[in-house]
Amino acid sequence: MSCILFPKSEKSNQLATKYNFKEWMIARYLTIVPDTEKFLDYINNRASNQYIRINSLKVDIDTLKQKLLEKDFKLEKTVLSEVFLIKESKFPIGATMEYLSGYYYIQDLSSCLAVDSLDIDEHDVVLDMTASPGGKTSFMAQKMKNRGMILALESERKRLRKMMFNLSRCGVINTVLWNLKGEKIINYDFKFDKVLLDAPCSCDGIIQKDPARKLTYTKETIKYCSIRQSQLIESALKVVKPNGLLVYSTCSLAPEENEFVINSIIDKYDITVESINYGVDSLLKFGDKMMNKSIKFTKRFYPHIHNTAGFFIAKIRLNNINK
Amino acid sequence: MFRILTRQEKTIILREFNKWGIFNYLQDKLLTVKECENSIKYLYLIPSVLENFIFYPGTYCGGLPIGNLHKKKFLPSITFFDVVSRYSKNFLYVIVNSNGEKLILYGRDIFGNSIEYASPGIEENSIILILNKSKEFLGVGRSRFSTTKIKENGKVTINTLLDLGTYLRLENDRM
Repeated sequence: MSCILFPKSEKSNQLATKYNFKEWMIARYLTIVPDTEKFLDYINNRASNQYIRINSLKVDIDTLKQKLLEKDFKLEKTVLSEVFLIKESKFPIGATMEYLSGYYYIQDLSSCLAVDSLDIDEHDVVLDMTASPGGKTSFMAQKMKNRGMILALESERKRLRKMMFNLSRCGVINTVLWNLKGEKIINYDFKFDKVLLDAPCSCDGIIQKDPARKLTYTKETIKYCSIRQSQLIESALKVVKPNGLLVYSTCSLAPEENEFVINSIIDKYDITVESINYGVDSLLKFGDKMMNKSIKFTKRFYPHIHNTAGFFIAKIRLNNINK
Repeated sequence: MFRILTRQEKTIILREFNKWGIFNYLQDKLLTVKECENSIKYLYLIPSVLENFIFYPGTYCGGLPIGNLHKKKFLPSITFFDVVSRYSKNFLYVIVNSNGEKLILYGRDIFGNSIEYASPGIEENSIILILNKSKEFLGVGRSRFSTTKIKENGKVTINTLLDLGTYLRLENDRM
């Protein structure tokens, strides 16, 4: 799917200059993002929020909370009982004994919400299609109390080692990591109760954390990613058990990588898009493109509204066999 | 490619699990090995139910990486000792103060004056676990002195072999 462009305007020109963005990006954001100027102001002038997920495989949640408070951490509750916003800390949160012990994992709330949407049961057989660096995988293992089975796939060899150490640091034992492209899982005779597809994306949702992405973000990236995402989601649907769940997520704000990908499978497969309790409804129209009504059940997350990365989550249940 | 252990390899590993008091931790788990070109055998402990996923050519790792086997010698990993600290009651240890805790996480050796407590039975060259005041695992070291002399002021009395910082430092090494 090619990147949809919108006419430039005086407003897009002014905002692009003020916030140092490419103007075509701003023209799109004016259509996509509610309260666009507030959004741009927020991601340009504030450090991104830091969240930690307490790893109950290694430590009791209340015990660690108490320990961090004694070390002058200021924590704020979130909608998930394991996840806390770091309001203040005297030490870098990636260099404490507690971090090295795997007592907590530094992970954005939006990523945790994607895992939460999978409704994981302890005894599920779960596939994580694009797993590195392992934050979502280890949260799944935590929700499964290290029971059940997780198969994690990662295609880039250089990322495997880091993932192995992340998992072992967090005490994850119920996971096997394969060096395999997500799409290729259809060549194996496996079916899964739950599949997480946190798809590779253009990542403009994390510009606040990594401003260099303003420069590297291109129309071609959006097109390339949307093609790859469509291939991945088709493979994912082929390995979900009937009545099983697929959660699709990205840290992209581009509808071509989000709503369009889900819209393209609605007519092709016997699936139901299920509602998610958090975020705002996704777009039912972008440019001339109209979406299926059920796309509204997929959710978008915005930094200036939800205090998270820019994120998208879709929860899809496979009703029966493929059409 | 992964495989299950040979009888000889299994004997070596079971002896180590027994020695460190974590034999029962093996229940419902399977010991597997990945042989690499450098002739090192990487050992992984997996729940038995994961057997379906592990024996495939593309498997990179599974379960817990518990150490290496090199020429019939078991070299335990930091993860192995982490398990020992949580599931065994049968190990030698020292408790270090907060200054010692900071130093060990950077892989530094332990000075006698950082040690607040040493368990009985430590001899010269004993492998001992290093814990903080909350008895949380920080690392593993080799003692230079016995229990009675290990707290000696101004001297390095334990050489650090592995510490929690190893997790981060090893991430970027090649395997």
